[in-house]
Amino acid sequence: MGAVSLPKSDGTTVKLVPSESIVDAVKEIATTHPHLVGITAVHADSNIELLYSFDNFRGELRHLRVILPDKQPSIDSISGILLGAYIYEMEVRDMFGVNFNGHPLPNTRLLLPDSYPAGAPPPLLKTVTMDQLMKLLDSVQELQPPSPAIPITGSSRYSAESVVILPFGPYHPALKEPEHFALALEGEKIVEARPRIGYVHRGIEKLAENRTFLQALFLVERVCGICSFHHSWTYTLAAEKLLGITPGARAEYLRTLVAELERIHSHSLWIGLLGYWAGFDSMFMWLWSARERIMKLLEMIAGNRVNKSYITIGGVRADVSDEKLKIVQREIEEFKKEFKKISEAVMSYEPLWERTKNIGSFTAELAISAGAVGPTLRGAGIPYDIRKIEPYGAYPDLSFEVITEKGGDVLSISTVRVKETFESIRIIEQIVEKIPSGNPVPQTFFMGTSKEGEAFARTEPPRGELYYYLRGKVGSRNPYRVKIRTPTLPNLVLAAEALKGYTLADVPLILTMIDPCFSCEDRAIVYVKGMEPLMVKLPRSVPANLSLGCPI
Amino acid sequence: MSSAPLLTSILTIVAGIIFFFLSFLFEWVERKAVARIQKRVGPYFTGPGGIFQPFVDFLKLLSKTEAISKGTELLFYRASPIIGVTLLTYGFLHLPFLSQSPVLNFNGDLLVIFIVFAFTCLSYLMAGLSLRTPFTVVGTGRLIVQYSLYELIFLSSFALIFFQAGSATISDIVRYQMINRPLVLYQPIGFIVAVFSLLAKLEKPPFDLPHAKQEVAAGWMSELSGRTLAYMRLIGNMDYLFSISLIVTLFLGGGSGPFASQIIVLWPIYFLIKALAIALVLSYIEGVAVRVRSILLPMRLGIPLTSLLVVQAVILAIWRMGLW
Amino acid sequence: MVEKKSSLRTWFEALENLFSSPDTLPPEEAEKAFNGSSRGIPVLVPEKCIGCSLCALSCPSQAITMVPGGKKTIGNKVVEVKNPSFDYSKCIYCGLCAQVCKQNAIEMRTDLPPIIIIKR
Repeated sequence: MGAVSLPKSDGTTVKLVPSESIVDAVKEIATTHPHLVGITAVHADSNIELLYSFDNFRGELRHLRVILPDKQPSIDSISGILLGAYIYEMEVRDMFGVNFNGHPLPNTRLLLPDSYPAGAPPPLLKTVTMDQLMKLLDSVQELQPPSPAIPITGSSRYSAESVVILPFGPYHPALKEPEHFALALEGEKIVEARPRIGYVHRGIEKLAENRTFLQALFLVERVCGICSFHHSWTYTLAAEKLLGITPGARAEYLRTLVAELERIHSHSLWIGLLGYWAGFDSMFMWLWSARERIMKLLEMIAGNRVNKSYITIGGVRADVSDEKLKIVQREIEEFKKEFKKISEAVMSYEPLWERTKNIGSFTAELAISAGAVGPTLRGAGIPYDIRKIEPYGAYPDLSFEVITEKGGDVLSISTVRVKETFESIRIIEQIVEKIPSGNPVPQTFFMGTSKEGEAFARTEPPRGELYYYLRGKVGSRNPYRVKIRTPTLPNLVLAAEALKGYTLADVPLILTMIDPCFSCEDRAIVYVKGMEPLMVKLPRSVPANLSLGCPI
Repeated sequence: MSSAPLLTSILTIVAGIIFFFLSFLFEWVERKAVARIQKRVGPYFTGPGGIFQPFVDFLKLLSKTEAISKGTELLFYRASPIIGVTLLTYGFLHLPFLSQSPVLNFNGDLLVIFIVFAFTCLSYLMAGLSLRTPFTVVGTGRLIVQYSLYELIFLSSFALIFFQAGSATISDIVRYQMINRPLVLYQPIGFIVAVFSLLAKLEKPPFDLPHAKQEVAAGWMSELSGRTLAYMRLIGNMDYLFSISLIVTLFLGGGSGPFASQIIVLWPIYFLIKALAIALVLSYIEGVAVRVRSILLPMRLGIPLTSLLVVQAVILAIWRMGLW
Repeated sequence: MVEKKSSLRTWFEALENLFSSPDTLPPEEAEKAFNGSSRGIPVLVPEKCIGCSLCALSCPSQAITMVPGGKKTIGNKVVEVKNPSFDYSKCIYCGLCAQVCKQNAIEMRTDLPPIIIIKR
């Protein structure tokens, strides 16, 4: 096939594939590596480079690289092989103008606003400057009314009598963030669900290219509020790989500490919201009141509750004194008691079981094909946790288990999150005991120039695998390209799939079982009826070889 | 009972005003209790313990601009609050709140209650369907289903009371309870069923489906605003107080109690205490309730409560047969 | 832990909360602008500033601009220095400027009233 293998800076291999044979190459690779991590596009030297990254659930990454000319780039779609791929392709199409032949949604935008002129150059091309982009967006006088996601009149599949098209969002009490879902209801039953997104797209990837490495760190932190630390950590990991900086051991422990506190606060937030979505407000209030303890700890350590701005390239920004670590230890014990009491009460509560058991059921095969990650995937029994398969931070020194549950419904995912919270508490207890001494704050903050090269990093935020890709140009203070692939993107493919056949009352629970973070994503899917998912057969060896809670 | 029309008029006005203000007190009790279950403070700023908060909310909503969408059926939209408030106040006059004899009564006035129930629901329907948007359509649809379920249960539990007390006149039923014992002691199952179906009638959790905010935003209330919303919320509060008073009247013997027949002031106080106790029970159920899945509504509301009532009827029948 | 279904614990939890004091902070406490852990607001100490612009270069939200700050004696020479000026509507209060400043010329202060930005 004329494929060339190139060694990458971190040891993984990149295979260069001609654009005509991408489908064959993906078919081959998907038999052993069924998890598509993401499709990264970079505009460099009048070319658009596409990097397809695959994982086999054991951290053995394989990459395929395709180089396309930036004049009318075109390539075959691989969404027929992996269901989740088409959403990544839409993102690349919106941002780089790459045409994917055979894509199920040839004319639909994913991220770009409707007001963006059709003929205008795609925003992430290097030839488009920030000024041009701002002029382009300012020049739009009239907003086009978006076409309804599900047509009611005309060539409709439904007679208007029997089906109600219910708009779910952009402003809806069940959604934390503005997203629109058009639900076709037959009585109370959902026959079709179509998300429409892009309401809060902020162009962070483009903005990051116009900031220095240090400044971009604060920018990517604002991708998401709840997993803000994981975003900045993943970016830092990628930047440290690229720039060849290693942080001290104490810094690694402190980063892990904040990350695990963040996981606890995110999970208890979600479990509380589970009650809210099920119409059980007391559970929501109880868990959020318990969570307040963790938020105060985060504020004590980092100075801020949400956007912690705690990490920096080469370390952390402030040390945590022994007295504060004692407080962490004490408070986490208190939290454990409180959380145990509440979570055991509510998770065994019969009416809540009724709302969650066998609701939004999905199979492990569907989850893999959609590319689902995090607790969503673990709720279907696949122990895929980046902390275990690709340890970073202080995780190699700490013992913890990867929680999985059988089933794949709202209840199993909730159980995974409850148990993971206890695991996080265990991790924090170990951190407080084991933390080495030393100075975690770097002597100077990184303000230098970049090396030539590329790096990627993955972490396990509360919602699942987060992927950052970073490219540097020699002599530049700014990153050349920052690519973010957040966990909600593949998970939402799964949620929209799982919605069908359930009732309106279950929509909030099913949509949110993946713990969606639309704003950090704003790349939800537009699902087309008739596009049946193609299942990828999971190699038999995979689940057997993945051991649970392997000792480190 | 009073033959003097003037006295009746005065009592009507007094009872109406009491009903109006008391309905806000009950909203406060409910909000405060649910807040405490949820570890919150609840209403806080207005008045001692925020006791005036519901009333201030009402006034605030009255002063807001009313946004009426194009295509609203104005007749329905305007008539619904009038029907609701009037009918509920009228219904309240038939309950013995101030003294043993209600302000208004006639033979068989238990049936008035059904008219009040039906018209309250009708006013909700009219408000909901005055503008047909997806949220209001789904919300009103759920409301109708729920109404058809709880109405049957209420009707049956009142039939049992009629069966025992031998009268469909509210003041006769109260007198029967004063002579014997409160009906809750004879028909405990019927009482529990009535309290539970109240939750469905009042659209409180777990039966708050018609305006389940996570699913259908505000349901049938989605398109209401300004003073219409204020009045529809008032109807909700009045409905709450009216239904609780009804339970107190029919099952707990109204305001009867120790020394109530000697000291006439004690009657409304006892009545209020009993009503507040029921409001607390309802708030507790609200606090621990998980909203029923809409397709399971008949399974959770209709079938269990109806079968409980059948059990109650059988027990009652056997007991009466044995007595005669 | 969730293998057994039982509603009793939730019912009991609700009852317990009904008769215990709420968790919510009293408003007097909740409305404070800063607590002991807050980072604070960056404020310049003009006497210490030597106008090196490090803060402006590092500022993630580009909220610092260097403005003429008058004459100043550094060593034996009198030079024209530039001082940072903070745009508090852009500031994200991360405190990086105070941390990069070698002269400690920027203080993060928590004794000030909260900054309220009025849109004109």
